[in-house]
Amino acid sequence: MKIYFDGGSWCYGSELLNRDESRFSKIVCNKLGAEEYNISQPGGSNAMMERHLLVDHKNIKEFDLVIIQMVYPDRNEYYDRYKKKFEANANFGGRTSLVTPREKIMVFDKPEAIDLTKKAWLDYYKYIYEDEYGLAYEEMHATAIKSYCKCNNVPLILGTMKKKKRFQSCKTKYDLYFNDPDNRVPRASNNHPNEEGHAIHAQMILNYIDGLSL
Amino acid sequence: MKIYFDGCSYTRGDELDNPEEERFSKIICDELGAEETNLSLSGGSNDRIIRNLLVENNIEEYDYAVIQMTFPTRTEYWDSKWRRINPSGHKPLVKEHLAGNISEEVMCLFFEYIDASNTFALDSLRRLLRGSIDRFSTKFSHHRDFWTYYYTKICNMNYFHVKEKIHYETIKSYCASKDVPLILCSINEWSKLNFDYLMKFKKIHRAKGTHPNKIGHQIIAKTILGKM
Repeated sequence: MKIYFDGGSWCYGSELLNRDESRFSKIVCNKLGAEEYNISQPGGSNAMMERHLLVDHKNIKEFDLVIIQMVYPDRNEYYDRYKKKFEANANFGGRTSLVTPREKIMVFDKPEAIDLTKKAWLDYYKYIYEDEYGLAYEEMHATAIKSYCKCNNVPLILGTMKKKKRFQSCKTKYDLYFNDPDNRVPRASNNHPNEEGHAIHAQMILNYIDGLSL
Repeated sequence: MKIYFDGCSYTRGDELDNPEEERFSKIICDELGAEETNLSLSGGSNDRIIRNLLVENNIEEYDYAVIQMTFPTRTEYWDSKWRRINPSGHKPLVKEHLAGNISEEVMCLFFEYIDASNTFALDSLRRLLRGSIDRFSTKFSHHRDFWTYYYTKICNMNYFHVKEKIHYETIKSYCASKDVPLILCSINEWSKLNFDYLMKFKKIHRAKGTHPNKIGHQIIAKTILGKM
């Protein structure tokens, strides 16, 4: 059995002392005797996850299960022509991503400390990005991921970092809410789940898998 | 029978005398006795096509989907309503190109050059150089700096190819997951993807600009009907 994992820093295991052993993807795979394939990246966006799945992996059918932990809708990515790879578009979101981008800029705007490309993205969040855009595109990314897995007959567990109660009216429905205040897991100093938090998330996933007829 | 059509000005029937009667979507539907739903928009982007398909509409209400993808350089954003972004006609990009900041390859894609017969694009560039058009100056003045920087420094050919591939896979897998047959077309002759139909025309099948004329639409309809 081989399981595909993608997501942001929570799925990556940021702040864990021994990330490769104690992140939830590893715990789930150990429990199921499965091979772990985790391509998550800190600061990663939903657009990145869609690209990974639809473009970078030619044969998703080699996996028995796909588990994706989607992140905040305001994140995005671009192709860096000098580094010749996709980069996160400066992560101005994160902890305050549930407030509007314009409010966020009040907190994070330090133009002297960032390069020109990041300044351009700062302008993007100041003047162009709106939550209406983010929510519509989040739904597009989620639907694209779901339909791609469905038509390739690969089971999918689609989770999110968004808080369930804040977005009850959203059309996009997720299987798991990893950041739900009702089920807040223990955190490390920079707010990522610690070892115990990852163990709890792993159990959440295992409980969900129990309900699937894999 | 209901058929879902989306695309840009080609599917909308720009430059036809009577687009609602002469465009290929109408010809196809008349031939099949089907109900036509044509959501296309001039200058529309692939992002918009995906949003229409995945978010705004229910494709399961339709028996067939015919989607014409466009140039991947276009995009959209929300500002009280969905707004189109099309780099063609953006004067600062010509200056950046002349300064060596945008490659000729990318510039051709921005200006939607299909071939030397694309009089619309050539005319657009001439008018731009004369200073008589600059879409971003008039329509996006408060966002002008960002979009100039975006198209000069952030976008590049690799990005457009990957983005187009994501859109291509999304449309195909979404329709397949809903069991709706699809004909996926494109007008982007720069594409590396294998579309069901890449719309290419001789000059005599084009109107004054780049769009297909009445005969051009009949050719498109016949080709798509053959594939359906």
